[in-house]
Amino acid sequence: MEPVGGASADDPVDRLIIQLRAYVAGQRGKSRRKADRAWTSGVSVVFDTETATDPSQRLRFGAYQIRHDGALIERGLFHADDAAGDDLAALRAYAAQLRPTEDGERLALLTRAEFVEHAIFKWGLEAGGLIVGFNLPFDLSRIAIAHTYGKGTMKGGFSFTLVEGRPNLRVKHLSQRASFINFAGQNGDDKRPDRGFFVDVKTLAAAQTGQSHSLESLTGLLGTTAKSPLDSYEGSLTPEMIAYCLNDVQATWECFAALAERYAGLSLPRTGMHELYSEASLGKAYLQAMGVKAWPEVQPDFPPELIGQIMSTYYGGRAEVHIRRDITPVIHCDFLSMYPTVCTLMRLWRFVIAEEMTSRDVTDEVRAFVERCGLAELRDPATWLQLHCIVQVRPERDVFPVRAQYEPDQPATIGVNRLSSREPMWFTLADVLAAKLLGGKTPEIISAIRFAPGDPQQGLQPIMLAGTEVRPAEHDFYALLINQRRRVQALEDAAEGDEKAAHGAAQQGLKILANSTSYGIFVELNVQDLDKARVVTCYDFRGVGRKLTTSKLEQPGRYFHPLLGSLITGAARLMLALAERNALDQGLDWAFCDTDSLAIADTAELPVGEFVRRVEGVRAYFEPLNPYDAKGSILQLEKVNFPPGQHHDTGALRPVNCLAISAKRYVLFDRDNAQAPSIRKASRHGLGHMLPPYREADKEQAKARAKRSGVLLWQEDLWRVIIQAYDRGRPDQPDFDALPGVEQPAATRYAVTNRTLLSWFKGYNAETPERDRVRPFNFLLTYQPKSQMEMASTAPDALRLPAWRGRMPKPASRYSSDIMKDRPEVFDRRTCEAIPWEWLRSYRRALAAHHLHSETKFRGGLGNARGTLTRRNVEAWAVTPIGKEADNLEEREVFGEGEETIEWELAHPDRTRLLADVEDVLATYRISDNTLIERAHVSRHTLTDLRRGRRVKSTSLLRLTWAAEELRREGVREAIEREDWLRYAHHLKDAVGGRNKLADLLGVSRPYMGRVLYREKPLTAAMANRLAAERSRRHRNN
Amino acid sequence: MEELEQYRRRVAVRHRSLRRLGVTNVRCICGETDPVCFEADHIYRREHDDACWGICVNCHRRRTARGESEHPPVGMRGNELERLGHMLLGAADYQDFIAGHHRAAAEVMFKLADMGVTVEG
Repeated sequence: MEPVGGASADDPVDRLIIQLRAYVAGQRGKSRRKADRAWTSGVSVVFDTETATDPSQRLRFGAYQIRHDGALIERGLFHADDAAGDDLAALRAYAAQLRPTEDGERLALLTRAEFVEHAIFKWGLEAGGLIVGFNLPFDLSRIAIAHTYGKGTMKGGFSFTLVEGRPNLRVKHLSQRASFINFAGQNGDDKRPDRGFFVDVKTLAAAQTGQSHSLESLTGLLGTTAKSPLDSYEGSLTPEMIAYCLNDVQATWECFAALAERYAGLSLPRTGMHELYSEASLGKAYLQAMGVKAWPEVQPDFPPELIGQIMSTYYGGRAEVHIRRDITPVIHCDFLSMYPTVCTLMRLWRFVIAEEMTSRDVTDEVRAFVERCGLAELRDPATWLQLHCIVQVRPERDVFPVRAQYEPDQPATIGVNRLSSREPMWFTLADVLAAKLLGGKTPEIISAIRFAPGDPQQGLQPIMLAGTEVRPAEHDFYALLINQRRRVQALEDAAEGDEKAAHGAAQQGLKILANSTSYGIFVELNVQDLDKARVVTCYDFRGVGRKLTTSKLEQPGRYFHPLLGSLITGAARLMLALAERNALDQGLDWAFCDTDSLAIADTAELPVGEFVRRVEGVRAYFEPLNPYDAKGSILQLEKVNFPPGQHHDTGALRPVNCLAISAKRYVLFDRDNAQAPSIRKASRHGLGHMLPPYREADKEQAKARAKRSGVLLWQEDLWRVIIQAYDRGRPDQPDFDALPGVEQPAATRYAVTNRTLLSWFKGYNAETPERDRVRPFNFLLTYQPKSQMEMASTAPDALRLPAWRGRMPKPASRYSSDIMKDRPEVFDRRTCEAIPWEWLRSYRRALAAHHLHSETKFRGGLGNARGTLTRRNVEAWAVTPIGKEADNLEEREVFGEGEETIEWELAHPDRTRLLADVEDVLATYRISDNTLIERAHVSRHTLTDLRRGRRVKSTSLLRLTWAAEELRREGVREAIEREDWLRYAHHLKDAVGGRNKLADLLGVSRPYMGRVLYREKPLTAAMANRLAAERSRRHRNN
Repeated sequence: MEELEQYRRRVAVRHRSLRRLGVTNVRCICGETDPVCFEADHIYRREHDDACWGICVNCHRRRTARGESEHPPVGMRGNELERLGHMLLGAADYQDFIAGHHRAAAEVMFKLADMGVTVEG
């Protein structure tokens, strides 16, 4: 089998510090008692707040409802304790004319303090009421009078004082969709404080629908009272504004009631709605309902050393670009429910319900298996039952996933590259087979471990799922889910109106359930900041534990099962490798892949019919691997390959054009009759954080566009401009000026969700009166200042102002969805000083390099390079054990803040090896200590300590290593250049007639020239310059 | 006191009682469902074991009285046999109570049937 997309043996080697996941044994947090978790009172407190529009976003007024078993028993308005006279008068007038509904509820107008005491504490906390809101952290922080920072399990969050003498309220932001919210204890002696019950409708909707919703989009989806439109909240309070707020509370309640009804239909009594944080919570609730006990619970004594080795085989989905910055015709294919499918093929459900998992050494068996296993064997479903193995290999230019920082100052990413390592490493058996398929040779296997599930657990219970009984001990849950989903999908296609919508919601629910129970919950690790550093044991790929001191800990989720996480993602990569191999065998190529999809490319300019036929050949390979009732290939054709509305007609299949920039950054498009690009599908990666410079006037059209192409109008236009640059023959220079509004400042929405992000406003808050300060959960806009170079050309005088002296301004403003209309005042968040718009970076500048974003993980993927990328030759220099990876790379790129990947300390062998290699580079290339420490930005003491065998931080050692590697590469480059000049010097000596004549020609002493020619002295830069000048002169004369 | 406030207090008391008992709903062998009047009853007698189940105040009093009069402590504190003996007698008391309630319910049904009340099976 020929290697594919590989680098040749002559390609340069990248010595990289690779990252492998490790396991740090942490104690599971105590779960709350059932009685503390169950909401039984039937009371709900629903509220919403309206705020000032300045950066403080302080409370202006709010509205609330109190309900018992759904019936409205009280509703009213509340206002800020220091409300302006006009606002108060308007609220009183409105409250006076409010009339009870048919429920005959009590009506009230309260101050903030009264509302908090009455609704939040008396009805919410004391009566066990459920506190409901939409984007609840924002509203709760509006009614607070002070804040401090969370401790213990809530470290990283905020603790709010709502009223003196009552428990604080704690909020910890988890993601854009969810937060932990609860009451703190009243005092330290309270061993079992009442934490209260909170439901953020935004979170509940995301968990049930798998999508982020605004209140407006949610009311549209659920068909409840629509959120009423309101243009502006500026100026005096009007009856329309108050009615808007009351309407929002009603809409929130109705959405909550509709979602609660849906949830009740799922029959998951063991998990309350207030315990749902994501789709994964829903998946866990189903497993609980079936009585499935989690693996850490049934096998708590499983050797942690082995867990460490299993964790080291874990890599996420594969997202890569192969044909970069070239427009190529592709047929975009994706695997049918990739993760549930591989779970079914490998029968992993048996592991989920097993009372234990056993392991045994199968080295010889696996060696023989890998040797005989090829494309034909992997087409047989029986082969996939053999993949419950992890394998220790010694990689020697074998194609394996490599997680590393491929370029300095770039985040670490995973790329399937050629890997060599002095030390054996662990991979899943699926990865080893993929390495053989893609690398053309069998990796050297050192050992292998096979895992097997024990008997099913006792006490498993059947559940009903979309009208079908699931018996967990007998059925394969994943296969059943997908079969059921496809049946419901068929019903949806045939139905119309309400029935279609109902089937649509059911099949969406099944899809969410299948995905949430087949992967994420098995690798769930929750990072916890500790109040005090603690000594923990870290188990890495070497299978030994070592003590570490850490201030961060990873709490395994309830259904944590790292073997399943590794096997599932490994098998998914094998599927992609099979598709890639088959495509290449068919004479095709591929443009990009992303976890479960592959854009198969035609680079041979085949006739369309032939291209389609070959892609069908690739798809046909996967037909026997379909484990479901409805037969056909599991490698499906995406809708994007068909004209709109014709995706059921295979005769209408035709390739689309693809332009891929970097992983997850691509566009698929057609040409209309005038050959203009028509965007079919595009990614918003790298654009999603920006506020749209303009919006589509018709909201329905915007919705349809988002559904069709996955992006907003301005993002579609941007991609169009990039494609048009290719049409003009200048692909590096898209005409961004053609986009409207590109000269306005590029704004990014920013929410103050943690302590670090609040500290950004420390300077501003110190200069501002208490009531006007920026507080937790405010949302604002941030901007980028122009670069000093740009300022020098546009506003050179400004560079002399204090705001630019020795630093860059940090611009921010109040939130506005349309900055051109509202023109919010921009200020420096450190000094509170006003910043003119002329200093801000425009959309044009911010987007200028969007089409040049590098794909660092492969060779040839930097900057404006174009074409097919090749795999890097990576030499594993050392291994950094890491924890949970950051998945918010885009956010981190923009804000420079966010959840970071935990990097545990380097192990002793790695430290020793790195230090020895650094010393080796210094000696070989005659690099001084000063040069090294200057380049590495570390102190001389650090280098001295390191040499004396004292402990220094891993980060310092890694910086020294990076610097030494950079200097080594430079040294190698210089050595090659020196050799070239020396060769030229010899050539010149012969041409001019001897050493002495050459020395005279170059103006150096004759003995010195001789020493240089015979390598007794190095060829200096000055000598190279003289040779270069002589060569130029000779060129000119010729 | 305002009616709504009275209502709120009742809900709050129920919520507090359920939290105190550590359960999400209650039903005593006599049919009582108000968590406010529930107490923890030591199955083995307090001096032998802390294991409890929840029953209403009336049933608790009855059971305690019966236990004290009909099977008082033998005096061998910490003896496993005495502990098991009390546990079995305690369980037997519950069964007696349940049987008594069943008999009473059956009497009611006979009376209703005698009055000509019918219920579809």
